[in-house]
Amino acid sequence: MSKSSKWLALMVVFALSLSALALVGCGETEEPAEEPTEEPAEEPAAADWKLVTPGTLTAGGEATYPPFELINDAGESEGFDVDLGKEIAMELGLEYEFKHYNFDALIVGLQTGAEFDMITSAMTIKPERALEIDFSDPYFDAGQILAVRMSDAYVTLDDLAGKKIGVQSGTTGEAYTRENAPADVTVVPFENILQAFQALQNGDVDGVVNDLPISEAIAADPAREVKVVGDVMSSEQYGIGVNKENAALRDAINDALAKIKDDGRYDAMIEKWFAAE
Amino acid sequence: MTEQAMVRIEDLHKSFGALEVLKGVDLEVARGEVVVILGPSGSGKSTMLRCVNRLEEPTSGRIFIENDEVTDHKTNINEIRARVGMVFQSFNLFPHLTAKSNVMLALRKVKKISKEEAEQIALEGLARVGLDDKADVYPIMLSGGQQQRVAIARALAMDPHVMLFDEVTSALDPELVREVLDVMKGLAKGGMTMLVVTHEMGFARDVASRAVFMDEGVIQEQGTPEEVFDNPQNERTKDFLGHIR
Amino acid sequence: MEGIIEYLESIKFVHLFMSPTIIWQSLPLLWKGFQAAAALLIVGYLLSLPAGLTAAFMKMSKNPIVRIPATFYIDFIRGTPLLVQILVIYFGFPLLMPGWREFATGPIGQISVAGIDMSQFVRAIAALVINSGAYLAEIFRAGIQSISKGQLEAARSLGMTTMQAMAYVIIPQTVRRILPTMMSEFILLFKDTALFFAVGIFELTLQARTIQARTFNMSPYIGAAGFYLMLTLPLGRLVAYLEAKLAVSETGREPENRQERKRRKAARAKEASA
Repeated sequence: MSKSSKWLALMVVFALSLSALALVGCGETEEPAEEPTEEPAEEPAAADWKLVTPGTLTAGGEATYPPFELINDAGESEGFDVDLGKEIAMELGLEYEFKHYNFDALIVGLQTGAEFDMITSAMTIKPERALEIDFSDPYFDAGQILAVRMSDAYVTLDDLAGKKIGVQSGTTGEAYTRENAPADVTVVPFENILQAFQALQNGDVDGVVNDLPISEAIAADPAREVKVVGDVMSSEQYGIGVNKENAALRDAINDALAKIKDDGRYDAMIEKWFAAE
Repeated sequence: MTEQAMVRIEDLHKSFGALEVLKGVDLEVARGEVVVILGPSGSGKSTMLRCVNRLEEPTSGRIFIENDEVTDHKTNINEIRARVGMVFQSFNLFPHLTAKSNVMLALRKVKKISKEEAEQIALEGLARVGLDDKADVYPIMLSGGQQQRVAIARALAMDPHVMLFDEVTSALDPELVREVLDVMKGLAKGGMTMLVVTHEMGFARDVASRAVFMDEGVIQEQGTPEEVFDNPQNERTKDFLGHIR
Repeated sequence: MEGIIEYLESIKFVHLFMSPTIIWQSLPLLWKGFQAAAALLIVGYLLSLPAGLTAAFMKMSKNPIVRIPATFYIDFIRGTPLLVQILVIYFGFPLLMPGWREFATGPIGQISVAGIDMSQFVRAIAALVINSGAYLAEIFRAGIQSISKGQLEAARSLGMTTMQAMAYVIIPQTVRRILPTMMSEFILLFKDTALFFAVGIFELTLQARTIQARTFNMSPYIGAAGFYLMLTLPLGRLVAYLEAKLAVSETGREPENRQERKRRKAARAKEASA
């Protein structure tokens, strides 16, 4: 194939996909007109869910984020999100499975529709993410908090001017710090939050910005010799991620969440995983 | 013991694993003597020679060079080796050094002689083997005979009291053998004590003060070259000489 | 000029992977990353040489108390990923050292070496030396053992100690022979410095990654690749040249593939003229 014919081919593909998009767009505008003539609105039945493994609710999450999700000594996943997922699966009458994924890859993994049915990974509900996937109702209030070494007196991001702040790569913590820390702060991204805290302990960075509950849980371990300081820096909420084409599942999860919160199971989980505070 | 022997070997044994190569060798070499050691391959003659400066570790027995016991681990073997010259079948010149530097290296590093003096000795040594014009040439550019002569010059430069020659002409093309043997003859005439392992019968006849025939890890017979070559007593000697002729 | 750039940016692939604008803006940070990577490489490699030589001699020792630890070290390092070694050494080292944190946050630990804090630099160097030392040890050992036994015997028969024989006879010959392999290891080590992105050292790759995270664009990686190639391409050519030269000096003839190429060329010329 010559160069020009390659370009031609590319353009044809591009043009075709454009027109396909246009067609879909037209279809959407037509739909409201047709809907009333269809059968009347109804609660989505169980059959409407699409599941990766029939009969099983499969959850994805990065299990390096205690106490939300972690791998215990026996090699099993556990944590707040895992327990929550179990309860939801029970409400829906399904088996439950938790799969470990890199945080960076969770959204793409959900979109493929072949890896897992929902994301339970202490994921903050953010507009950019909501463009890609649906979120359930919020199930946890979190925010960014600064953690520093026990021996240091820093309280705010401004106190760390000229210093280094560790974050987990790709998290809201990274985005928040890049936006709000003084310009001469070096933001150091790590693969997971535990490495960032290890670096803080070792003196490689001088602060870590991360979700409040996790930082609090890590700081609760006296061996770490770190503390959380200052106020919560942004208000954030965690949600369960669901594929946009699986609205029936999202609604069912919301119903289940409401039930779990109402009947005290939610509080019991909080007690179990955040008792140290 | 009226005169101090240059080399004295007493009941030397050497085994490689289960294979016993030397089974009790006794030999005394007087100052100025040229001893030619003959024998079929595998007879242990090279191994014996290599035991003399402990390139091979003897299994048992004792070896003396002048007053010093080589086999005593308290003796400084490097000091002894510096006065025992050795020339190998495969020359073993240092390929990364010129002929002159080959000769100079041990003078500088072992004898700690100044550079100027070492250079002087090296050039004289190369002249002695007829190679003063090749002083700045690397070994790869020299013929086998020339390389072997540099190797002899290298050993001689250390001013050794005894020279060991281990089949030094075996790896040479026939037309190059003579130039090396001529150097050795010159050395012998100059009164150097020499132990020579060789197959060159002519050389042995002309130069040797004693011929030693080894087989099966022991000395079978020894005497003047005439005695051993013309009137061998031992059956193995007769057999060996019969094959050579 | 501006028109060309505008046109290039309008092509999605070009914009995403090799945007001239973003690469141009990345250059100062990438240059800093390159300096950091080069500093890690040069210091790490220079210190790996004595480490490798020591391990090589230990592995060649007849004494098992010396030999076995060296064998274990070499096998362990060569048999495990560098990334794992970096994580263990980088995060583990401070746990062994009481007062490490005070050192790291103190004036000495904060000294900047090509943009890397001293406290990070020493751990990175330790990881590189431990890793590269094992590879160099095997290169040295193979090289030394390829020198004929007669060389050592000749040196020893002249009264040299083993150390002297090694220093003046064996090692100089070995180095000539293994120089191309040693340089290949140098190139490999340079590319390996990229792994330090995982522990938050701002070498070339982490610099690129940070810009990438900000711009959602792959071009900084391509810019970083350019910096890597700046060093690896010329060095790679040099290795090939040295290898060919070595083949000529050792065998007195040209390497096979070059002979083959000449023969084919001659054959083709013949065909053409016929």
